[in-house]
Amino acid sequence: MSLRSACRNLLTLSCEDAARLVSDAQERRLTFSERWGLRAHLAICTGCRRFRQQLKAIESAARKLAGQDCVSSDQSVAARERIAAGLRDRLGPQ
Amino acid sequence: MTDSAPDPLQQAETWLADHGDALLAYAMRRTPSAAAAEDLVQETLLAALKAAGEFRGQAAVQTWLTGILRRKIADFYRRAARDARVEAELVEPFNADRQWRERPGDWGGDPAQIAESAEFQAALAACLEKLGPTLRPAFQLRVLDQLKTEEICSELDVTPTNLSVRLARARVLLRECLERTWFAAPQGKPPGPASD
Ligand SMILES: [Zn+2]
Repeated sequence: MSLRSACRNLLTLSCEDAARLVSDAQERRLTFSERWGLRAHLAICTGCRRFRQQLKAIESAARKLAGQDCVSSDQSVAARERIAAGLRDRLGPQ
Repeated sequence: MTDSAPDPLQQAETWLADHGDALLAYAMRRTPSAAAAEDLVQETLLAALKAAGEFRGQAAVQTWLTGILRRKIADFYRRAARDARVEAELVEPFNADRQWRERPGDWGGDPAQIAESAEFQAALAACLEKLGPTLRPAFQLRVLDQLKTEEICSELDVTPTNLSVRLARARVLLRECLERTWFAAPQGKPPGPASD
């Protein structure tokens, strides 16, 4: 069964399917037939090969972004003041 | 007023002073605007006051507040997903034959090195902002927060298949956005002989 579906994948995998598998591979181990279908597609498709490479840069840069504090202290003071004002409106003496 | 029953406003202000920065940073990474993040933090503090009886001392206050904030953010996206289909504004990357509408360009260079570039990171942050209310949280929770598939599915209330579709779409659109903004910009071009 897996050989047959591998052959079918080899013949029919579209770039959209291939991109989905490249993405899925970040989260889970692909099945045998998915791996073969993807491998065959990547062998003939420059666009999807580039997508796979570029995704490495994107994922790695995104993890670096996660480590950065995205609120500057000025922004944060102003934001906390606005929130405190909102709280006083809602909770302050009636 | 006694020590055992603090004034609610005072209590909320104390939480805000002690944990406001962490809550805001958490919310801003997950929401499309600073205003939305502030509203969610405020709602979180109000909800926390109501639920203060349920707070069990063994959890750190910040962990407990963050848990409430997470649920508020999930509600926010559920409302947003019902309201609008912002993602429709983004270019559809595949054509009717499910091939790339525009073939990904050659960025050159080593992906690890590209990821180090401050310009690339800034462009990525800007592109993330453009993802809509269903794609952005999926990508952020997965890649920025490193949550497991099951956790994201329960937080966003989607099936694993649905999540896989969203993540693939988010990644393809981010790639496309980066090619238009970072790669097309002069400083984005990797060193070396110019192609075409
Ligand atoms: Zn392809």
